[in-house]
Amino acid sequence: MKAATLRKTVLPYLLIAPGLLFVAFLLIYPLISGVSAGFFLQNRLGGEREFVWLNNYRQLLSDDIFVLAFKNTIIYTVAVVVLQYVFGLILALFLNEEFRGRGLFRSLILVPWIVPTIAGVLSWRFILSEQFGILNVMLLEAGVLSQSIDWLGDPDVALFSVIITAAWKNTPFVAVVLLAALQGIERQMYESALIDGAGSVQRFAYITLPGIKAVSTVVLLLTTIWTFNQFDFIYLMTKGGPANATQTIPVYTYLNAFSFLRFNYAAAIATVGLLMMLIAVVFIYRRNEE
Amino acid sequence: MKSRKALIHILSMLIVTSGVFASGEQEEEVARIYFQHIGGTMPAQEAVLERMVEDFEAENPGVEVVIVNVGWGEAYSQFQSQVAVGQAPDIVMLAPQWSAEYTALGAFVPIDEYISEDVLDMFLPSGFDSVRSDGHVYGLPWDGSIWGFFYRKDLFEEAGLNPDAPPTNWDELVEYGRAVTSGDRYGLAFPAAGWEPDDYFLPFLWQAGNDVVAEQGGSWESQFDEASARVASEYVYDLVHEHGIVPERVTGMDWEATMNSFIAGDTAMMFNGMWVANILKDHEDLSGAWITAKSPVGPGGGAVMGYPNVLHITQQSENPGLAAEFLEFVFTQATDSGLTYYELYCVETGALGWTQGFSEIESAADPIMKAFVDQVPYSRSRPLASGYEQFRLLYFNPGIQLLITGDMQPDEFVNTMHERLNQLIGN
Repeated sequence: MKAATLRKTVLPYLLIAPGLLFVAFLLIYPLISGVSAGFFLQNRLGGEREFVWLNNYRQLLSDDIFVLAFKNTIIYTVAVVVLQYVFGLILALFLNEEFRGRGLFRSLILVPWIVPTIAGVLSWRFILSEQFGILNVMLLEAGVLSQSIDWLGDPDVALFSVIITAAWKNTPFVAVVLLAALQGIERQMYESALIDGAGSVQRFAYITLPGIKAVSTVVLLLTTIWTFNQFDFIYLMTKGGPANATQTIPVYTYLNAFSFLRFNYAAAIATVGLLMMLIAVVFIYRRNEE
Repeated sequence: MKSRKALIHILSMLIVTSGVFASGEQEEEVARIYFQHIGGTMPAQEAVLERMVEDFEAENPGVEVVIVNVGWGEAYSQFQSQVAVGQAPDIVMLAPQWSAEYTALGAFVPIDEYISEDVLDMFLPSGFDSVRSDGHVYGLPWDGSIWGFFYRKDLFEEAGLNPDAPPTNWDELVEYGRAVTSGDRYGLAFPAAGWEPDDYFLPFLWQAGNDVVAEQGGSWESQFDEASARVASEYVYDLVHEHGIVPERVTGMDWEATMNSFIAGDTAMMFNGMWVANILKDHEDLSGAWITAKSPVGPGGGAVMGYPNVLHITQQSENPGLAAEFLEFVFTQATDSGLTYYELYCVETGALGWTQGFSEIESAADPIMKAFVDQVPYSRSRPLASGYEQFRLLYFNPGIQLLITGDMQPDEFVNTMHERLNQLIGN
């Protein structure tokens, strides 16, 4: 083989090799190590690892808390992602219009996304407090409620409360990204549609939605991954309670790994979470291709 | 010129390297003890720790004590990682339920082989509950807490009750609770959010005469199938649903929210941790309006949640003898105030010392502290059975919350808890 041909075929690989090694070290090794840990059982003081095949996974099937966490995770992820997308889109459409103070409003809208999670959680816990919370006071004053609701203490309501507050946190991100996509749609298209007699619903359905489709896919993909893996918000808000009502896969993984020191079992739970995530990602991509 | 510069460089390097080697030689002579302490957020506590270390080092030239502060959130898992990789500190502070687990795993040296009998005799026997095994003790009691009873004297007076005569038993608790409950004000509250419910439910079980778990023939058995568990569960259920003196909303209240409700006058009586007393003392507007008292006793007698944290010398320590000397110094050496370093540490932390003589020191005689100090002899810690932690977080606390909200009846509660507890403690 000529030197020039060799350089052409080998050199690109040599050039990307450091990057590949870096990725392998930071991503692939921990991934393999994490997944494989689910097939072992190890003494907590670091003794010999015993290969136990699918025992940890078999245990998961009879673990009612895991089943509950699985169900809660799906409800939580779907609800938060849908709410974020719908409200983010409404905000983006609103911010895409011309009005006074639009610049200021565009900046203010980012506040929930910018504030540290712990500050957001503490504020929401105060707002949702059954005794002192402003939400109950407002709803009681307005006559919407006849008696206050224990937003975080009632097992029937807690998941709903956490979903709403989590959606509040990331909606600005969705709004800003969709706003950028909306600004990429040419004005002339709307003007032409208007001349052709298209109504606002038709313009939205046939120009706006197709125009932001690609960006929407990315947004849905990112928010699904982030929401599915969200640990800090739920943990700080309710610790998975009351009565396991807000128990999700990330919180349950954490509990098993760091409260019960069942690292191998936790690895099995995390692997199931990873598979669920992969299914969701493939589903979103497929829908986009269709 | 060049050769002169080179000479200066060589000389500088020689000076630097000789310094490094000299300091290296000095370091080899220093015996270091690592003391892993949970805390580090209270300046007064930090000051006592620094002082005890400085004074011990002054008395023992060539010894260095390094305090490593860790938070409560990571103390358990961090120690696990350290032990697994052979990097455990010489002395470690742990909560008693963790101590019991690691004692069973052989992580500590038998401390009675290093600490004199005189020092061991200083402590209240209950301080060794979590660290007794094979006829040895594997740790020493450190700072302790009691989960106790608080009430609003002003609200008692308003309801026509004697403010100096708090309820002394379960029946009186209901009677007084009914008297002070009116409108938005509830008679009694206790934290039942997150992971706190069992801290307040366990005393009801104990006061009913139930031990939760019992060791029989080397294995643990759930005691939830005993009638006493049903009595306690029905009592708590009735406090909420029959008598209406405890609000269902306690399932969303942590210790702080419960304290705030007490401060606001929305709760006339509460069970809470003794650390709350220090915060309440800072509310000058409430001065004289509240007090602590012994927890009301149940049909099985008096019992409260209360235990000391524990100090251990680890099996991986290279200087267990020296670590023991440091501990003896801390527990026996008097400071200028006349208190030992240990007593001073407890006073500054707002905690209880688990020694026979702690009830006699001045701060323990304070009327607010006295109720806690008096209950130390019958205080109990969480069950020490392996697997209890898992039971507590996954089933017990959620179960208590469902009992309070009325989503689970007392019968179903005790049956479920019995089944789950037996599954998790290895039967």
